[in-house]
Amino acid sequence: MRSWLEVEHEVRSILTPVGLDASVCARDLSSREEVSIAGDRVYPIASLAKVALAAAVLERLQDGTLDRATPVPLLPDLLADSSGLAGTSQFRHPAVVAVEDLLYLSVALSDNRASDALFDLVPPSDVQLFLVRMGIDGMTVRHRFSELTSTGLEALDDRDVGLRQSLVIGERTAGGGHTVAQFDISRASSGTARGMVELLDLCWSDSGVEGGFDRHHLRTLMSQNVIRHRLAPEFDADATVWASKTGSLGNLRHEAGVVTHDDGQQIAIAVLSASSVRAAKQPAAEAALGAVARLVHEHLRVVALRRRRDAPRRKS
Amino acid sequence: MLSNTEWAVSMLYDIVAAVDLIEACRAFVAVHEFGGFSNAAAVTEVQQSVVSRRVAGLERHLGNRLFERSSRRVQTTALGESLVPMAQDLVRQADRFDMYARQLIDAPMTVALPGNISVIESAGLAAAARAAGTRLIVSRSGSAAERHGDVRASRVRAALIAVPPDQARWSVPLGVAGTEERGVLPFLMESIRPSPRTRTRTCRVLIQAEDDVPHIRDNLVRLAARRALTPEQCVVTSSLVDAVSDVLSGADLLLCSQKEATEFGLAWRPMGEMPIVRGYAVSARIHEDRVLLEEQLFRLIGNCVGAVREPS
Repeated sequence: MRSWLEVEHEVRSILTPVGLDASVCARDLSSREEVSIAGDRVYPIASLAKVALAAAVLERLQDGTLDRATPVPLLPDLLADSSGLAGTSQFRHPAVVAVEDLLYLSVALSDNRASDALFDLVPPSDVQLFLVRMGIDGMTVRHRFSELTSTGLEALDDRDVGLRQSLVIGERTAGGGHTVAQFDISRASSGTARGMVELLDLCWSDSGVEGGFDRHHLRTLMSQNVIRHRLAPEFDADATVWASKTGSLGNLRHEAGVVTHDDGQQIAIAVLSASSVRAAKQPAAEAALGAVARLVHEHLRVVALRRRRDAPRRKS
Repeated sequence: MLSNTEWAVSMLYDIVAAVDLIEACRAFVAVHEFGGFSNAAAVTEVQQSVVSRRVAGLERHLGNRLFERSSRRVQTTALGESLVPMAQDLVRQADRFDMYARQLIDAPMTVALPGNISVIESAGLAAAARAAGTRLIVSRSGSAAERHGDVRASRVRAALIAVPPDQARWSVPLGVAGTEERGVLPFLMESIRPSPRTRTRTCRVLIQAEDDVPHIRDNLVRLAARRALTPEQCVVTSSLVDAVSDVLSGADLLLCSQKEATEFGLAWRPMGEMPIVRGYAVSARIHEDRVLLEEQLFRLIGNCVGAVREPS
């Protein structure tokens, strides 16, 4: 079995050629064994915040403040830039969607419009209070998702994708700051890989509806994630369930999820990354992130299998 | 005594008539040294009327006399005595300037040319220059930046520098050279897009130091990013030898001219998605040097760098 040092080395050799800087955190949810690389580095988390939002909304559904069937009117904002967005963000006509269905759209389709409708019911500050109450300190929710597409960079049209990426990459300041608020960790919703794993641990810690919020419901929504190009290709199989949320903004490509094996082992994995390549679509980078997640996952899987193999011997 | 304004105005005239000032000083120093206008004229082999005119002009310019012409002997005034040393310096500097300039003009012309020009081609250029009356010394460098630095620091008198094609005297279209014969169809960057699923070895386009300039390197890097290539697939190499060796032993491609590809024994294809062109222009301080390269040696240099015959 390889040492963690060797795994770390291989991770770097996968990320560097594609121009990626990444933080990884993975945790075996039963043994609590955890490994990480730069697990406490802070990034703007973009759509990963939808997991926290969903959990906070589910808490309100549980305590009766909100009703899952409440119809919520959605008016389209035809002036907003919705390129690359999915679900009701692309609706051109008014619609009415129930709270519970907004949750599905938000988590499984990463629907910004549906998420902001949920933020209307549970504002970012309330979601933040929820996180604090749950003891998750590796994440801060600060703003609605409409703010992510009002950076001013949208004014650059599609031919200037490289220019847009250059501005995102080039305007960083020391300590994680940025000229553009949405990429500044002190002004944007931000978090760490470890913080995401803590949140996933929370969501996977109970099997039912006891205490706080319906974790089973949230797990189901995340397993219905339709965005499956980043880490899912490495974990999808009939024998496993990969339930996750992605987050993508500018040069940031994130994903956090849990793989459940049919032998019961559950491993939470969070990968947060920033690219130095001036391109929006980078299949090679996506594949590299998948390969890194796979490597780290295998390390924990082998550790657990070893422990299981060695355990009876120790008893005798 | 002249007022400050008059001094300023006369200084302006001085700038325009700098040579006159030198000649006036030459005459002034001669009159002082040889004790009179006729002696000065005889020794310097200049007409006496000219000597007198020049000295008088200087005195008018200064607004004061340099010589007393009252007695039979010419007497240098106090002002004249004080100014003689500096006038002598001025004349000496002017002569030194002339000598230095002549040295430069008579010296062989050093020129920095691109590294891919062969010994035979350099010799051919030197021979043609000799026929045109100039001794040419060719130095070759594979780094466009180095040649530009050399001519700016006057380490060479002239150089062929890299410029965008719209400013160029010679244009060299670039393509990629590799070991596999792929016909004449243009090369598309998208054809070497990495395929993570099949995990075949990724192919790189290697850029040599000669092409490490914005209009080539940056255009290619931007194109590579737009075609979703990884950053390692479009890199500048520090050593042309290493680059060619990588091409020979693997799937990599070298960005180069068709002429270079032929020399390396590699198959060449032009760039498909956008033209990538090396542009060359002459950088030279001396006008004659520039004319020699841009006009008289135009065809020859064009052949050496692999330029296409295009109206520039």
